[in-house]
Amino acid sequence: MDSLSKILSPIVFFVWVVLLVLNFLDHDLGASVWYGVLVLNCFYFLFFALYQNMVGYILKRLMGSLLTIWVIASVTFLLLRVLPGGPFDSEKALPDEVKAAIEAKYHLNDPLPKQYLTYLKGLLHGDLGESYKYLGRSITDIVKESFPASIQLGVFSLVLAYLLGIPIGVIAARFHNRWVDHILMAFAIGSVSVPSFLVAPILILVFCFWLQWLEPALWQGPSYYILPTLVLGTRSAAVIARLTRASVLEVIRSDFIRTGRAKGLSETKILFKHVLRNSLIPVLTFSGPLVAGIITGSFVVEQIFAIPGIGKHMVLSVSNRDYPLILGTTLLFSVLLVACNLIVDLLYAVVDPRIKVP
Amino acid sequence: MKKSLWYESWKRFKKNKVSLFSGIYILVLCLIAVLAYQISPYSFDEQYMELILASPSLKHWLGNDSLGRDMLSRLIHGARMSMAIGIVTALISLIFGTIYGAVSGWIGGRTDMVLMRIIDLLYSIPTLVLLILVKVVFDSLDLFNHPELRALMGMLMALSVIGWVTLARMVRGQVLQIKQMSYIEAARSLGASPVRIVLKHILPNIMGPVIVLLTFQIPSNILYESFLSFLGLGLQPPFSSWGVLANEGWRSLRSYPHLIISPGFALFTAMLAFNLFGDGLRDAFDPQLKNK
Repeated sequence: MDSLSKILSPIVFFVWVVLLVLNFLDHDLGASVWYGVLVLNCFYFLFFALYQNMVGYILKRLMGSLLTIWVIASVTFLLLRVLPGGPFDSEKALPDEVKAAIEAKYHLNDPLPKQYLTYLKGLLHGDLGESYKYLGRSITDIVKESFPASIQLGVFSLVLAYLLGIPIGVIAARFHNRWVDHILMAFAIGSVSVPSFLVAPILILVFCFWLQWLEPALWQGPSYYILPTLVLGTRSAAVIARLTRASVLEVIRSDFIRTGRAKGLSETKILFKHVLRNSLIPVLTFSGPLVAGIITGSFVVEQIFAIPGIGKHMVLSVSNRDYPLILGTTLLFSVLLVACNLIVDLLYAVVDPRIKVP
Repeated sequence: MKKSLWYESWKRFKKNKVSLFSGIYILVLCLIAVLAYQISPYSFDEQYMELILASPSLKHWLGNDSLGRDMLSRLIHGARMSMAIGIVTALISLIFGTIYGAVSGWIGGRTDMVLMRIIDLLYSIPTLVLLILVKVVFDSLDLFNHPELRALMGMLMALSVIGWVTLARMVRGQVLQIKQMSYIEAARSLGASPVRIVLKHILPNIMGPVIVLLTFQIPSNILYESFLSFLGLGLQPPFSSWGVLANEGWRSLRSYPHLIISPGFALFTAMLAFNLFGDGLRDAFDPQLKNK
């Protein structure tokens, strides 16, 4: 069983890396490939779940997540529905027939419980309602159109954050309190502090206008992807680097490391084989807040680089008072975050078999 | 005993020159914020038509913006607004978060479970999305007649709603830990009321981590404010905050870089100072952490 997991994990990992690279190079993979990979991953988790006897735990967590989503959906719905003033209030009074027609179209005249039921029924069918602003367009359509760019940006940045952050943290810890450590940590605290709307314009100025290597706006290929990913990813990378460093420094003091040293293992081998794996657990648990941070950052980055993503729609929907769109985007982001937290908790058990899930 | 703990922390903190300098910088910023009207050379909304988009000069050190207003004065007033928002929201979240966390941790049981579920729920919505949502709700409630006051209060409410959650969680954890200590049991057996125990015995003992968390909360609030204003959902001109200035400035970067560089740099140095100051404070309050 253990050897099977040793084979399976690299395969799943490898598949994801290939997909990511292809996606970055803008290959159109088609939906079937993605569904295939998702099924593969489900099997992977199922395998571990059966292996570690945690089917009950997974089901419990799944129910909890669904409950959370339901509460968020209901509370947001009620909040936005009972608000005074609406998108159709304008300076000029509408003719009564027009007003009645609009209210009938969006079911605004139904009693609140009935509206709520209609909304819930729609949700179950993946129907988020119709936009107030873009007439005749459903929220689901808008999401389908703008979500891919956002999720690409998010995933690229997340990968960059780990690829950059973990090695920096390990190197800083390895040279603890020496100049390498000081320089790397100064870099890290600098990137945490710098606002993206200062660093992004400077990068655009240098790489797009002076050197003319990259594109300053939109989202149409690798040369468009690099700058937004860099801006969004480095901040998270800095957080990861600080976390990894602290965690490595903590693990390095434990008894089994001293044993390894006494046994005569080389410092590099200790670091990569024994320290790293143990110190990555806190880093993994931080993935939930990290995803939340990247979602937050993506709003600003999408605005700066004019990326046609979902963040832009949310910002616009607020100015337009397009309540169904606000509702839909809020719900979408919450589902994303809840799903990430769930996956992190499951991965947690995969990475560290000592952890007994309740 | 208590006094010596604070004294020790102060002694450790003093040794960290970077943090000490950051602390002084923060104090200077606060001073600038308080004295904004006295020290700014011009008014923040007075227009100089002949100086529209002028580059920095001797009379206007940081140049003028697209409406001819003096950038230095706008930056100083921006500091006033940004710092005020950062500090006030941190204090509101401090009060509410501490009470919530202390009640949850002290009572425990079913109350604790329900209160913590509410926090979990708030954690399941990404921060900026929650911020926007709260602001939408608050703005439509029309509680204030004055539009500028409404914008400001909406901002304060939204930032306070997201801020207290982290604090409440931390305070609850600390209270749960300290509740087990024998000196609490001693106080209880002497007949001290729960309110007295929490106020006199528990809160003073968790002040260190609370203060540290608060120092990190202020810059993150300032940053969220500037994000919202940058997206055009926060404060509106002629109000001036660093985010508002950045929003006005970044589009004309290529031709008029002084419009984005100065607010961006002000925000950057303030963030840096708060983060370094917070790091120093944490090391000073918890020396074990640093030696690790």
